[in-house]
Amino acid sequence: MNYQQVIDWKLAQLNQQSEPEPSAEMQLFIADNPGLAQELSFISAFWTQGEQQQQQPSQALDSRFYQMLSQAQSVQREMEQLQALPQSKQAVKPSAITRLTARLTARLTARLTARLTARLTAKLTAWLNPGPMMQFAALGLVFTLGFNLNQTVPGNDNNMAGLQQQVSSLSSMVALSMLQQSTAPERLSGVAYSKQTDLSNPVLMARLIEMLGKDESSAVRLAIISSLSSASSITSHEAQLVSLAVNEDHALVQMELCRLLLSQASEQTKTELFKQLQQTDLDADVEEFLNQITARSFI
Amino acid sequence: MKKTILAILFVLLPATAGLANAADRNYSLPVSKDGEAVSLSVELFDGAITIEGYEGDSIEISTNVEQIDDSGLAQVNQHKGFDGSAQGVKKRRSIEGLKSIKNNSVQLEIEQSGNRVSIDSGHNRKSIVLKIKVPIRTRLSLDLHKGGDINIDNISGAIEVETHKGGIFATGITGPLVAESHSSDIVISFDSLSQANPTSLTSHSGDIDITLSKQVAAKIKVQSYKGEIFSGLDVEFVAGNDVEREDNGKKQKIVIGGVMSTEVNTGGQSLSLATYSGNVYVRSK
Repeated sequence: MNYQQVIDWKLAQLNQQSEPEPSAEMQLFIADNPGLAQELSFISAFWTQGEQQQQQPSQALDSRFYQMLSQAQSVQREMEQLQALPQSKQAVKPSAITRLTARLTARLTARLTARLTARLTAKLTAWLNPGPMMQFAALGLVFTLGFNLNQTVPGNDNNMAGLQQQVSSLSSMVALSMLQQSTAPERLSGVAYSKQTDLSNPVLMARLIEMLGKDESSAVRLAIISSLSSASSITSHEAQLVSLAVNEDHALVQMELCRLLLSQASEQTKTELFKQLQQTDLDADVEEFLNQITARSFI
Repeated sequence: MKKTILAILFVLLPATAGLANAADRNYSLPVSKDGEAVSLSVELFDGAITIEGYEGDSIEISTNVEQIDDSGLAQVNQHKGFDGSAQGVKKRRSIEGLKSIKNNSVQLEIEQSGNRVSIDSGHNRKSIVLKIKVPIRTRLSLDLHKGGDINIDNISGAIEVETHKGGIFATGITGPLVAESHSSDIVISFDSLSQANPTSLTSHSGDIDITLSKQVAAKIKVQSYKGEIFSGLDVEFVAGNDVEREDNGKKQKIVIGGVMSTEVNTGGQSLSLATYSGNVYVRSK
């Protein structure tokens, strides 16, 4: 049992894709980690508040919220760049790497503290109209960040990876929340956030696959396919994707689904895809596209 | 919550064979003045939609119903059997002593709930032309199945628009915009680009033509499977990552429909343009 597993369970539970109560082992783990309990409370509050948001926020508040999201996105990119930097310095002596990591971690800590804690808290609170619940949620966010930062010991790569995992969880949570929005541009943002994770979160992955089959906006479906193309693996969803590709009505979406499968799926899945497509009345453009792909696929 | 439903039944004057008829109706729906979000949703089966943003606090709806001349259709309707096969021209009953009554009614439902207004034409055979003035901040969701075009001007709210036959034309907008057409063009002029959410324009066989003002910051991604790409931007487009990998000793490479991308003003929100067989034009103003 670890921190990440509990957060994944919480996200699944909020999506009604898991048991409403944590397992006994999980309850013990949460009880032993008050910080984790606080984070779970924050996630619940954030989620519940989103569901209760009946009134559309004004454009100004919208703007502040999205600015906050943009800043969070920026911080995450910076963190990824910071993490990538030591890897590109393979020839540097271990002690230098340690010092570099310490400096980067310190810089990251400062940036996270300054930008996320101050700005995100203020803007998140403003966006959702401060009420007791959101004030608590904001405190939860502060606590979460503090908890994360306290876990980061300079020079410890495992902690750096852990921190990135936590931010990835935050991105997953934001993505899941935005994927539920009613407008296509907001759902596109959710898909963009999902692309910033490695899609290892099963709840997020399941949600994307579900939307791929039923979202009314083809732009959203195309964006989801693009996001899936950068996933570490689509193996466990290949059968679903074949079914979606065969039954897809929109030509561009069908083409991109086929491209995704032909690029990343197993040979068995590709064979099944072609077998099923041959039994359908394909759009002429899709047929032409597939002919070009199969003609060019082996060079 | 204030809720108003206006069910509008148009009854046109008796038609003169071969001429189109029209009836105009105007409605004004006030919305709150405190800057709260306003949304307008329109689903029109046949017709055209023009939306104009203005500095006001009401939604002004002007409708014009045009009668499609179908006077000759009834006489040549083929009678079909249960299996769908043609059974020959249906013999018309005698109309001696009767006069033709045109079925000129058309239903258009306008519903208001607070600052949210929706307009739904149902599956009318009449062509309805809607001209609507809305507060500039209004969020739009527009769907036109057949008929003419959708025109939008001077809107700062988020826009979702879809046409199946006609084109999409917009000026003076900031997005975020999600627009889709099947066979007609999408022509958009951005004064600025909202950084709130991505903007995406998709057409199967229509051209996509966008014009960006100098201050627009965006990451532009263009995907045209069979069409050409034309750019008036100072920055260069570069090819995105192709799928390329080893597969059982044979090199597999899939490059069809690759994405070209660039950034203007050091990037910003995503602006995606995708068309299968249309051309893509990216202009600067």
